[in-house]
Amino acid sequence: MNGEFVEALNDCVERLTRGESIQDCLNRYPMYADELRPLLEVSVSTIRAAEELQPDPSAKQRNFQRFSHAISEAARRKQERTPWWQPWKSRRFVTLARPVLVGFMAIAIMLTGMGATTAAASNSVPGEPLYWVKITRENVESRLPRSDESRANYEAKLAQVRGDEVNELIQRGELTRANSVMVRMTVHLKRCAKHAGITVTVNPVEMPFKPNPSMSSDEANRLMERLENDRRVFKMKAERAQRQLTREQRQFTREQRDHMARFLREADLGYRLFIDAARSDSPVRRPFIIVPVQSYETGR
Amino acid sequence: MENRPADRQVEHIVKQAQAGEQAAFAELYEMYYDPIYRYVSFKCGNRIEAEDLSGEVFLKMIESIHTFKFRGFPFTSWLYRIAHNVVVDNFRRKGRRPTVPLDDAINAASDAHSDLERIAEVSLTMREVVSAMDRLTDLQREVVTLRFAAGLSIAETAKAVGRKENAVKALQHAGIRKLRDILTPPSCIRPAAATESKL
Repeated sequence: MNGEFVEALNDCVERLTRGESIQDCLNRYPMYADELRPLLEVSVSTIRAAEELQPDPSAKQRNFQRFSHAISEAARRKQERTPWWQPWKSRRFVTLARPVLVGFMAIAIMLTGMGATTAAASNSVPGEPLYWVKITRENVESRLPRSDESRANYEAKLAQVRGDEVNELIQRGELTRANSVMVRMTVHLKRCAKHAGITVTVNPVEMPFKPNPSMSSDEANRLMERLENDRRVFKMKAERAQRQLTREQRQFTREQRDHMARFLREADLGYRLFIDAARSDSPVRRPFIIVPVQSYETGR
Repeated sequence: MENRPADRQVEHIVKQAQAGEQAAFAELYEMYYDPIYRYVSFKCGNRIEAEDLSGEVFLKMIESIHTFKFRGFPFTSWLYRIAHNVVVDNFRRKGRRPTVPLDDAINAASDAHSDLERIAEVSLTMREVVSAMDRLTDLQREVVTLRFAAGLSIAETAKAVGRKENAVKALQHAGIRKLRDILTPPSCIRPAAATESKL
């Protein structure tokens, strides 16, 4: 396409709209005159056709009334600004607050859902679908910064939770799982002792850790009371679970029942070791609590 | 084409309207109603519809004028974009493309003039021009309508259709050439020749 011609045509169209004649335009571009003439004639026809389209005055007036009414409405809305003490009534507040509220609601729903899931998971035992939620929550909570006393109490609580799981699994006859949970229960008790500054071990080669100087004797006593109480509850539940098993599930062999009784005693031993160490008469806590297995067995 | 207000004057009026001045709104209405009506009439081809849609354009303007900012974008182009959207929305609602305006346009013309012979000539031209416009491409029709019916400059048309000025000039050239081809034989452009002496 000839760029100069396009420019010439555009210039002529501009001039025509300003009221110049076709001939004036053609005189400006004599080299394109033949080609421009029909195009300019069409342009003038189109411009003339458009100019003849005049709006009906009554319709124009009618539209103006609608227009004026709309302006008044807009002005009235602008004047009716929401008082500062009722911000929720303002349009801007709605515009801004809606996405924020939706976000908060979504988070609230999510947290509620998570809370419900966590609550449902709190009574689960190994082998159940929601058990991982319970363990994850415990792992997260155990990493929260807190005092040694609080950590010791938390580990004691976890030991108690594991004890409940052991009893529940025994009642269900899932001895293998119960055994592994029992091992974890003793781990929690050991951690509890560590945070309380007490060395609990039957292994004389194991090096004692640094006693915790931050826990007062009152705090230690409260912890001991708690552990003694947990031990009583655990023993009571364990005995009940065993009785129930004996009543309901006769198919256990004697070997299995002995095995079950043994690891329940071991779990109880975890408590006893801890409590004995803490109740020691020595003003300085002994680095090693050597409790031969034989002495426990003879003492039952 | 009527004289168009200077850009600075328009800017001043628009700013007043944005501040809520009712008189400024009325001034904008007076300035733009007729060209908007012509633009809409050319596009929708029905007088009654064009009147309704023109009114709607100005109502939309009130709704969104506070969002308009003078950043190299002419108010006129912005307003014609609203008009374009209003017309397109109307087509969508009605599920049809515009056809030949004919009788309504003739009525509009006849309201304004009493000379029957001239009315006949104008009506014929209008009918043929608007009919021919329907055979242009969408962009050609938009450019020709904005240039000839609305009286926008090349720069304003370019902003309104979102194209560069050179592209708009090329579209204008192609549109006019196509109109010329459609409107041949010369009888169709007789009124132009008749009115040439007046230009």
